[in-house]
Amino acid sequence: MNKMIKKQFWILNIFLIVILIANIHFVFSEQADISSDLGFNEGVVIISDLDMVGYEKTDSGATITFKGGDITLNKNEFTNIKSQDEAKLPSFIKLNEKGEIINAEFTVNEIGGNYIFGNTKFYAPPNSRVLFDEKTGIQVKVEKDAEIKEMPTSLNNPGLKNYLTTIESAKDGSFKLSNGVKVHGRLGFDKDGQAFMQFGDEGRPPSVNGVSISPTPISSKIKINMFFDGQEHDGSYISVNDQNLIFSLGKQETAYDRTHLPIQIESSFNQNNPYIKVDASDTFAIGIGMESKIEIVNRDSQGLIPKITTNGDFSVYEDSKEIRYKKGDLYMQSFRDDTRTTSPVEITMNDKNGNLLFNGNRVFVDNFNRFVLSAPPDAEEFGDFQDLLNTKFSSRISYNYPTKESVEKLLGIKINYLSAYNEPLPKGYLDTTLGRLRDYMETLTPETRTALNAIGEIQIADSSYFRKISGDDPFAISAIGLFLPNEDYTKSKIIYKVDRTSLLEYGLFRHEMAHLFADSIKRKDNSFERQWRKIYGISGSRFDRTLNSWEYKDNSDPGTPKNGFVTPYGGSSLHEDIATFVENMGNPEIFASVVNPSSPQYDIRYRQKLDMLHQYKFISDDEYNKIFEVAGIK
Amino acid sequence: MNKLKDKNQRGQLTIFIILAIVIVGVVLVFFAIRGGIFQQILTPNTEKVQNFVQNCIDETGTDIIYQIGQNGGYYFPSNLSTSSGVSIYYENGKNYLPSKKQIEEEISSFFDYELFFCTRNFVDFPDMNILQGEIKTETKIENERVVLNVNYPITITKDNSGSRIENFKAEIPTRMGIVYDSVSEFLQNQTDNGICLSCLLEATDKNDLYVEMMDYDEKTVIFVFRDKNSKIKDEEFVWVFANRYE
Repeated sequence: MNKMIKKQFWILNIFLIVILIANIHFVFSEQADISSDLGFNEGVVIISDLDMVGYEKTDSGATITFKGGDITLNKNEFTNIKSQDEAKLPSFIKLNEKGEIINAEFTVNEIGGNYIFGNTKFYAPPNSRVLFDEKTGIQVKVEKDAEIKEMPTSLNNPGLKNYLTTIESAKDGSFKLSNGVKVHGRLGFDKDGQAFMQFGDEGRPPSVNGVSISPTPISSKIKINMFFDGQEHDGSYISVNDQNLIFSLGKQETAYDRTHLPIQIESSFNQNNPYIKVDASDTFAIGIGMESKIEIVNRDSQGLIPKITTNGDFSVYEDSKEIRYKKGDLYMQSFRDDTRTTSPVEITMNDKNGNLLFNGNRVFVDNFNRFVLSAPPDAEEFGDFQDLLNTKFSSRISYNYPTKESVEKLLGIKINYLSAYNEPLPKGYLDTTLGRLRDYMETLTPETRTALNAIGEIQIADSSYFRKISGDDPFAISAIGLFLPNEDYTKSKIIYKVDRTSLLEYGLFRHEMAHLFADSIKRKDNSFERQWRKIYGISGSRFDRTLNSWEYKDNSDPGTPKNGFVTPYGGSSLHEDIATFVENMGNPEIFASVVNPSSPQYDIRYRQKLDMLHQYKFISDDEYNKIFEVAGIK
Repeated sequence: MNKLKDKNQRGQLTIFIILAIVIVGVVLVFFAIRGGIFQQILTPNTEKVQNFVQNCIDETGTDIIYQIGQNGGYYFPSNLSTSSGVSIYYENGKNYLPSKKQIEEEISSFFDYELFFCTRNFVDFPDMNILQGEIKTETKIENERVVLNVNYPITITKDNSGSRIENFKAEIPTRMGIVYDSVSEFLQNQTDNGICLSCLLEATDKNDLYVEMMDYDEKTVIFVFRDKNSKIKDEEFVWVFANRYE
């Protein structure tokens, strides 16, 4: 028992001694004033651990190397700094003979920290690299998506009297300021504490909140003050917050330019910017000249499109279009790429003194490569539009908005409206129909266009008209189109129904056009129909009767091509067979299984019919090739 | 000697007075005829024919003015047109806007041609013998209207009585002159730097016109100048043309 107690006693004593030694070591290793070793007054250099900090006296002062420990220099702490080994980069601070920091390089650990050089205090986010030279100032290189919790400040308010401070983003990313503004590039703070950025350096242009900024001419450079409040300021500046973006250029002397040409700023908006909606692959950019200002306000919270207010010269690029104000005139230039959409904006224009231009007329751009110039009374109606199609408007100047006359002239055909009660079509339906006619017409083969131009007219009819001519309830059939051939070809007609139950659809459009074109071919020679019949091995008037008797008329599984037809309706007659093939040119997938020889559904008649449609120019080369490309056939 | 001299002087004076009276008379008659002082008293048959011709003139004039607007000053699209038939006014930095005089002549020319198809050789008047002469029309494009002065000599005979009507006039109330001047003003400021919207706005704003632009192809833009203050054939009067930019 005694032996047992003695053993426990010794274990306890050893344990206490170990703790004591550890404590003693900790006390001694926690703080070590090495000032005198380096030739400084007491308290200038205090290190946390003799093993974790290296130091060396030099001819001009001293060099302290980080090995994982902390140091305090002139009562300013340098903590959370990675060792040189861990950072795999130099990690030191050099002092002059007075004990003042003259040069430093270190990497901050995953915690980050605040540091002070001279009287400049700055925050270095986790894993950032800090470089300091008493001549060039402080440079903080931060990781992608780093957050700058505090802006650099002076210990002696106001201003940063000692050193220029620069926060530099990673090459492939940006850093975020405390108010949420994202910056890519180098954000500097001058000795007065004013934030600025320099534009025109080589490499990827700097950006703010997803807006890339670069000067023109390309060889020029420009330094511009930055504000992060979205408010107006004096001189040349960029002011930004999550709602507002202001670019302002003062007179020439505020910038420096190697070329001595007037500098402009151009800014390109990427998809992530909070001001303008920019779709993938679309471009939105603005530019301003000297003594000009442009402000962009996001108005999502009011349900309104972004508002751009300009003072002086400006340009707004929207993919294929540029709207430009220069030397008193407003221009629109087209660069043609109508496949892209545009970003909806409202532009109010002022001269450089802030006086409203053009009697208050504003430019409204919508999603679809269109714009209007409209005076204030009309403009109120545009407040919440994204798509003007269903908006009543009466703008002085409109661009690419379909009207009856403009579409008629574009297509070279007349468009007439039919209503049993002479009622006009609702504007929304009408504009949509005209717009679709314009777009769909471009997909017709030139030969079909020629056939259409020969009849010279497309009729758009409302429900009342169809009710009058057919006696049926037109609402029962959502989509109706009619081709009415006439002995005199020029008096043949195509009628499409447009009402609240149906707007003009692409398939229907092509279907009737196929009827028209087939009719025009038939008038010249019969070989086309003869060949089509041969695909079935039948001829003459028996053809339609044969089709009608086919099992396919049971209408089972109507969504799948069968028996050489695309749809059950295609089986009703030779002409509907042709038209239902053509109506599916916007849906090439439907042919995939029936034209691919390796498919169980393969039926050579589909290929034969498509070959004929291609040969006779019902369908374009692109449409024909697309079908086989989709089917996986070269 | 003096008496003889007095007689001669009196004779000369008489001749001068007679000549003066004749000249004044001729002048008065000329202006009277021109001014319509001596209006022919129309018989019911003549009046019937005259009304018929006047209706044709109004109808044909309206059709032609409508078509001239649709085709930008031409009855048929000009040689320099898009394939859809829109006359091109600006290409390679040059202005191809037809002059107002050319348009007036175009209207006159096609009016003379089309009027004949409206009167149809007066087949609607089988009980009368109607002879018609050559139609000659003078057109004047004014700001608020287009005036057609039509010289259409028609001789009507029935039951051994005859009459002749010749001069007609039509006024088409469209602001073609204003529209044309606005188009002309806009075109003067065209360059290949793009479409001058402010010029367009200025040209249309002061005259209360509206403009629709539509991309035709990579270089061509169709312009529709619309006058909501003028109705023709129950539609707003439009003037359509295209510009081709490099």
